[in-house]
Parts: sequence; structure tokens; C-alpha cells
Amino acid sequence: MTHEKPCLDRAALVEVTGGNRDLERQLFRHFVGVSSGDAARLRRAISQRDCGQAALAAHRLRGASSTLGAAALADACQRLERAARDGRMDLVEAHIGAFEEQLRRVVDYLSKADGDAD
Amino acid sequence: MRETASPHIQPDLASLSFLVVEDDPFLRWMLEQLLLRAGAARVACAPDGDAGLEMLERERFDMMFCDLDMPRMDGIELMRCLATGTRVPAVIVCTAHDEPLIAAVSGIAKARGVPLVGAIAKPVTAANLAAALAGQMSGYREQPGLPHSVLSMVDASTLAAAMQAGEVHAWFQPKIDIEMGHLAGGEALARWTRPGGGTLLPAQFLSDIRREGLMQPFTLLIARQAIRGCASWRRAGIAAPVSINVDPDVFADEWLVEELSTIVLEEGLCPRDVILEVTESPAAVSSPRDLETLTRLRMRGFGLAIDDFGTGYSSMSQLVRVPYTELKIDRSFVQGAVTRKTCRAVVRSCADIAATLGIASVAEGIETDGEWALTRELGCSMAQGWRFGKAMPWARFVGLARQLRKAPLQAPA
Repeated sequence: MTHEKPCLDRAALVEVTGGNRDLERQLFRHFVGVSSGDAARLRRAISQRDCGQAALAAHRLRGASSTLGAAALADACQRLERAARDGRMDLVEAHIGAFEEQLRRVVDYLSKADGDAD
Repeated sequence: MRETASPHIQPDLASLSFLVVEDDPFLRWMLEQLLLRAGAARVACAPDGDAGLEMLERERFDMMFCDLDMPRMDGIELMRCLATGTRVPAVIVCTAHDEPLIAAVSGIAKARGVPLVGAIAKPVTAANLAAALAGQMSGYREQPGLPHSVLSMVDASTLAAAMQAGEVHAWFQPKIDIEMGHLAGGEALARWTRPGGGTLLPAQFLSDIRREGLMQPFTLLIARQAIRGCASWRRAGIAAPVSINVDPDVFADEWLVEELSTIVLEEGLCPRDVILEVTESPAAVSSPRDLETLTRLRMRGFGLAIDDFGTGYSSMSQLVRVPYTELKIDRSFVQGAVTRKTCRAVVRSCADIAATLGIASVAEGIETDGEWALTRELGCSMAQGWRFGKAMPWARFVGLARQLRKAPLQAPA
């Protein structure tokens, strides 16, 4: 129904979990929880113009999304992390929209997949 | 000699306890989950080095997974603190870094006496974890003095029975004349083929052998098979010496010189057909006794190779004190040489030193034509590595030797 690329690489995910469905389900839930916390931390850092905290939050989000196999989201996090490391809050603000969009897609996908699996 | 394990060997985790020190909460959770699902008896987690050290004070862990990049106390500092403690777990580092850095960390761990047994590449996945646990690690060195093998914990009677039953045997890896592409020798490497399937590398059982005090019979078993193998390929018309790894533990023993001389005679060879490879380590060649053993071996005509040259302790002073006949340049320099100027300089210097001394220089760990061409250009005289062949059973080695005699490999331009 949509021509968008899937936001999650299921084949890569099998390598991550070793094909364990229970772990996969837990991983999805855990990711949703952790990423919402880190995204909130990221938004707060931006509102406080704190590049150090923004870089840290983006770094964590990048690690978690690349573990999950969410490549586009991981890329968006990496752009944020680089900009924040360089002290370029203007670039962080320029990239935050794309990040929010990718995060929303991944979280939507995970919530649906979780429902399917049950 | 340093080898990587095949990933299909799955260690038994049920008797082991793990500590995960990782600042990233997501990765920490992931490792914990994967370890528990792999059957680990206990998994504890710490968000930083200080917390990790505190837990190690209170509880004994068999193995620690340690992130290298952590705020406040990084993985290297953690290992330094670890070394001062009494209960040092085996360590696997988790890192997104490349091989040279892992090799550097491995060297630091070794210097501190911390048993670094593996590295796990990020992202942390079930596949990466299985590989790390099976002992697969680039730049990994088997650590002398491991408190115990984290993979097996095999007892003396099992080991002795395995040796008796012929499960422990020598395989051979070819050494190639770097210029002519013909066979220049074979290095004997121990393998333990278990009846249930799976072949173990020395890194996976040497610490058991050492702990159980079986280094002497093990060394003699491998030496006899290696020398016998060499004798039979000489009878088949292949004139190439055999190399045998000798653990620093056995240097101090008087029997080594006599036993080796006897085996060589019994198998109808000369000592010059046999090269003994000595790995650099703090324990190696530190006492007058070790020096005496090596000098006597050399006087009888055995070849002496300094293994993994450049990575260990006082390489240069060892080179000055011991009458080596061959210098084996560590694979980390060889493989780094293609991309890194520093490594290239090290390889060139090693080859120059060997040439000046009139001894052979062997480039270890050659996996590609590019590495072959470069080490040849840098002046090495021999090459060894997967490009030419992994360690293989005797019959296959002889087959390869025959083939190389008919058609030597063409050195790449």
C-alpha cells in the first residue's frame, strides 16, 4: 500500500536475536521504552542549547537503532550526533525533523509487529 | 602462531557467571538478554567501571564483557584496576574499533596479566556473541597463565585420555618462499578433534594443559608427530623443514634438549630439519636457564624462530641474546602494512634486521595477494597465511607440497 522502504531490516534482526521470537518481542518493547526516554533527553538538550547532552543522547539512540537494524533512523541519529559534536546547534535543529519522522515510523512499525506476534 | 577459531564451536555457558560493564543501557540490556538465552548461569550488569570493580570485590565472575569507550573510566583503565585485584575474570572487550586498536588493547591486557580472551564487534548480535565466545577474535593472542579456560575447563584425566586416544594431533600450515612461490616449510599446529565433533584450536585447550601440568607430554606428542610428518614428506621428496611451537613453560626443563634430539634421531632426521618457534612473552627467555636451553638446542643444529616478532617483550634484546635463525613478523604489522605507513616501516625494518643478520624473515598472516606483493617488496624472505593455506592434516599438506613442486605459485606483480 505504500512504496516506502521498510524501516527495519528483518533479515539483520534475525542475526541480532539469533531468530529467537521472544527476544525479538522483548527487544521491540525495550527499544520503544529506551528510545522515548533518549528522544526526550535529546529534545530537552536542544531546548537548553546543550550540545554535549544532545550528542550523548543521539549517540545512544544511534547504538540502539543500529542494533535493531533500523538503518535510516541510525543514519538520522548519526547526523544529529555529528552536528552536536561539532557544536553546530543550527545543524542539530535542521536534522531533528528527519529524526522525529524516522523514529515515529520505527515505533509505529514495532507496535504493529508486536501486536502481530502476539 | 595465532589462530582464529571456527564459529561453530559453542562453549557451555551453564556453569559460568558473567559481568557486563557497558555504559550504554540498550547494549547492556542486549548483552544480558543474549547471554541469559545462551544459557549463562548468572549475568550481572554495571553501568561503568567503578560499579564493575565494586561488583568484582563482592562476587567472583568467570568472565567480564567490557566496553572500551566509557566515560570516566574507559575499558583500558578498568583492566589496569582489574589486574591489581585477586579475582581476575577472563575479559571480552566490546568495541566498534578496528583491528589495530584491538591488537593494542590485547597487548596492554597481556602486559597487565589480564586474560583477554576475545573481542565482540558492535553492534552486539547473537552471531557476534557466539563468535566471540568461541574464541574468535582478530588480533587475539592466547594468554599464558590464564586462570582457567573459560570455554571448557577440561580436567587432567580427560586431557590425558584425549592425548592417549590420538585426539590431539599436529596439523601443518605451509610456509612459502616469498620470491619463488614454492614450499619453504611447514608449521605444526596442535588440534584437538573431539569425538563428539568439532576441532579445537590450541587457544581453546592450552590453558587446560598448562593448568593440569601436562605441557611436557603435550609438547613431546606434538613434536614427535611433527618430526615424523617431516620425515615422511622428506621421503616423498619434499625437502622442507618443520616448525614446532615451544611453550615458554618448558624451557626451564632439562629434558627438552635431550628428548628432541632423540626423536629427531629416531625419525631419521637432522636437527636442522626442525625449527623451534619461541613466542615472545614476559616469561620467555627471562632466566639464564631458558637461554641455556635455547643455546644448547641451537648448538645441536636446531633452527630457532622468534614468533610474533615485534609484539612482545624486549624483542630487540631477545634477538641480541638468543641465537635465532628465523624472525617471524607478527601478522598485525603484516596486515596493517597495506594501509598504514607505520606498519609498513615496522615490516621493512624487521626484514632489514633479518637480512643483515643473515637469517630468514617470515611475513605471518598473509591473506591476500596485495599483502604478499607488499611484504615481498619490503624484503621478507618467506610468507605464511591463509593465502597459501590454513593448517591441514598431514596427507593434505603433502598433496599441497607436491602440487607446489610441480607448479610453484606465481608471486603477484
